[in-house]
Amino acid sequence: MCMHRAGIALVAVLALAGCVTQETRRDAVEEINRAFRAEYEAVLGKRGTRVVAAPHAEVFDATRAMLVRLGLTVRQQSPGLGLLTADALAPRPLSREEWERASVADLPKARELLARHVGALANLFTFEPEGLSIVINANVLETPGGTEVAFAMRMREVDAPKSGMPRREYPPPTAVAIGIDKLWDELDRELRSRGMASPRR
Amino acid sequence: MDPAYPDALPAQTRLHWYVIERVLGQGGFGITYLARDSNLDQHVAIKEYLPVEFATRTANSTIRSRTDALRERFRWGLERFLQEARTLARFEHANIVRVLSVFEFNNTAYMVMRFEEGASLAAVLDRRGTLPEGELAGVVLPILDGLEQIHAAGFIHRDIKPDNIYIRGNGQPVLLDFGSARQAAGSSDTLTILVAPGYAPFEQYYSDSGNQGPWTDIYALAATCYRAIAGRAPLDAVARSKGVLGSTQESLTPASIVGAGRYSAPFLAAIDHGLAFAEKDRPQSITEWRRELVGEQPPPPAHAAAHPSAAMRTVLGDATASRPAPVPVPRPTATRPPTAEPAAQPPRGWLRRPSMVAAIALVGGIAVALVVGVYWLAGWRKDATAEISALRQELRKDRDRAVAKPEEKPVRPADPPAAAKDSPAVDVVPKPAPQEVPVPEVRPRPATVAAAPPTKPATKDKGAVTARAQERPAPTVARNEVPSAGAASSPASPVDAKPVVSSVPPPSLPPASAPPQPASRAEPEPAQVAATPPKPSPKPPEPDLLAEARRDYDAGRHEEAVRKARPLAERGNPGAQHLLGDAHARGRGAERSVEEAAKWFERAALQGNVDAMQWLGGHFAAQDNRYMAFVWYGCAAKLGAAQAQRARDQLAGSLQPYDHVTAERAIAACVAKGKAR
Repeated sequence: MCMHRAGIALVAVLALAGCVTQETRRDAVEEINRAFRAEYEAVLGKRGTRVVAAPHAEVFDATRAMLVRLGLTVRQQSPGLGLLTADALAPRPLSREEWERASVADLPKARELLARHVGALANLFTFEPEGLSIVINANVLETPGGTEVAFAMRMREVDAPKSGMPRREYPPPTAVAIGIDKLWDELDRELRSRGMASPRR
Repeated sequence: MDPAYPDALPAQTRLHWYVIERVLGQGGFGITYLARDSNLDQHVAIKEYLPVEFATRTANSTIRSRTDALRERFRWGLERFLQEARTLARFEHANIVRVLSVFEFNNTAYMVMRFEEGASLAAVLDRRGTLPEGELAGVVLPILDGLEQIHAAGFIHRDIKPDNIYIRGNGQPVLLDFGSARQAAGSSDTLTILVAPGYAPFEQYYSDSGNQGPWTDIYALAATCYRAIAGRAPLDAVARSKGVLGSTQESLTPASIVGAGRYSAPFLAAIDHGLAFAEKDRPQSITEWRRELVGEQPPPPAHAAAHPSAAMRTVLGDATASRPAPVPVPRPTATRPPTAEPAAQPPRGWLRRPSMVAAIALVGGIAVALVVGVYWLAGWRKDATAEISALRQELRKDRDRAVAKPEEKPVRPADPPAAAKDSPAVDVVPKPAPQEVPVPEVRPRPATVAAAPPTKPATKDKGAVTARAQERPAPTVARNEVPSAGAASSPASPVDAKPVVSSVPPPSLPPASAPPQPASRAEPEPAQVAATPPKPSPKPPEPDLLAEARRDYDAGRHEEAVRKARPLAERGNPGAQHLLGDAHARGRGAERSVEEAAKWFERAALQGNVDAMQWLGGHFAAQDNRYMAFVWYGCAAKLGAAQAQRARDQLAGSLQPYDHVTAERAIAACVAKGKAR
């Protein structure tokens, strides 16, 4: 009896899912974007910028080398201005395990937000790394106290999502935090290997 | 027989009084030969109808369909080929390929055309990367005149792209290779060979041609202009459709951003209007579009392509509704709902209860929705996006097949070489050269090329008007330059056309007879001068050498100019750096290299050279790096360049809020550096 009822309920959920319009899906993803954006900015505001007491050119070079070592491809750069854009297929620069960790931490909230729009269908939502690339923007700017390095980390779709959901703009906040920390750790290692000081907040 | 063209007729084959000499090129629908008209003793180009997808050559040189099933399609295409030839033969326009004759032979048809020397616009763009506005207008406007006649006769080209625009030795453009034969094959599964990705509008991806019209050719021509401005073809219409339908945020970076600072705003706006995604949002006639291009009539203020978000709005709001029914994709149907019970089966105990009956009724009622839901969860969205995706997959396969054939790969001037792109940054980034004594810039950007370099006469066997080698280009391709329609060649912007505080007069100006250049190329970086009054320098700015270099450059003595400018640039002279950047960007007197160009432009920009900043803005916008484009345009805008300000504003909406924080810091640093110097 219970099985039958559960079956009917599941069928009803799935049927309703089929009725979700593109607009509803877009609204749902926008809600996630809004929430994640706030956390993204908080993470970057707190951990996104550091200062290195070393010449600009050397810090730029170290930053670039660090990005390459993490498996990212430097797509564009402007050494004089201190801008670097690098990317890699998600979850890189995170490992699979780190991505999973971020999913475990952030999925409940994402599903809760989605559920307001798409109901029980939200339970089928995941942070798939497939079809996404992670783009790192690094700003390496001269400052009176040395060289300021700032990172931003965003997602870009490289293949249409299987779910058909509109694209999300921001990686899961925990993934951002893990990724940014990883960038700093790696930059620290690179700078130290060159005899330079560690980045400081 | 030419081993490169195993399907081709061997040399010395006679077709009536025409004697085949060699193959000029081969595409999916035919082979074009250079032949001699033995009656008139002159060269002609002959196109043979040979759609390799469904026809082949037999041992006795005749053509036959590959299978009986394909015979009808072959015959249909043949009829269209003949019809196209007859239609074209009616036109006698300087900018439309001249058809001299058509005849049937070898169980196929041959179109005889005038043979003209020159180079395809694609070849010109491969070599030069981009064309300045004056030259581009000199190509597009005459083509529009010819196209207007074609449209008036109820004919649409359907295959306009740089490969199909030929530049004769005298600089006149000519439009060739009409797409009737392609249309004839539209019933096949090989849609991609019917359209040129990047140049074909979305409506051409449907086999139904009912919604094609002059606006279809306008899109393709606008895309061709975009290629000449951005250095790359615009985003493919199918890829754009994804963004339009909301499944991604892919959008075309408008020409008004990519070309800001290098082309006039009305010209760029007209191109964006021509590239509007929805056909009804484009100019509806050549006359209308021409008026926009020449600045006689502004495009509608909110035309679709002017801004990515606007494009999104426009199409989401209107185009999807007005779009014709897409190519049908088989839909999963619930022919037998999985929950339905056979009527004859006696009800079970629990089914006798009214609530259970109601539940079953509910389930039955929503069975169709269930199927849709299940498919949706499995990623099978049966809405327009899915249909497009399915179509796209299909197209991609065909495209892959086409690409698998040897093809002349266009070189993207704005793209770094593949090796540089993929290799670690260490290989890509130029080491900042020491800047010993930054020399205050007096006139940093090379001015107008007053005396255009003389057009190189094409050698006789290089290129032909019909040497369109889409899949397999002819071994030799003429490399004529497009003669400058009044010269102008270096990148500058209308915003630069302000009063110039300069101690050095422009070395040369366009001749009085030269056609007006919508984007004046004559003025150097006034905004910078206005923002930072020249400071007294302890060292003279080596005006003679720089001025000499510029004079040489303007006069077409590029190598000499580069030789003179290089030591100055190495020593930190921003004017010389700009000249070197321009030389590398265009391959004039220096190896064409976007990396080298960017390096020199960046060094000039970091000394406050507004033109260089704008070039970098356009460069990064063309690579779809909106962040860096925003920063460079932002720098130029801070130094007073109005057009850069507009480009910056347009890009602003596509950046994430946090990007603004870091970008503004970078802009401030850039401006501080520029001002400091």
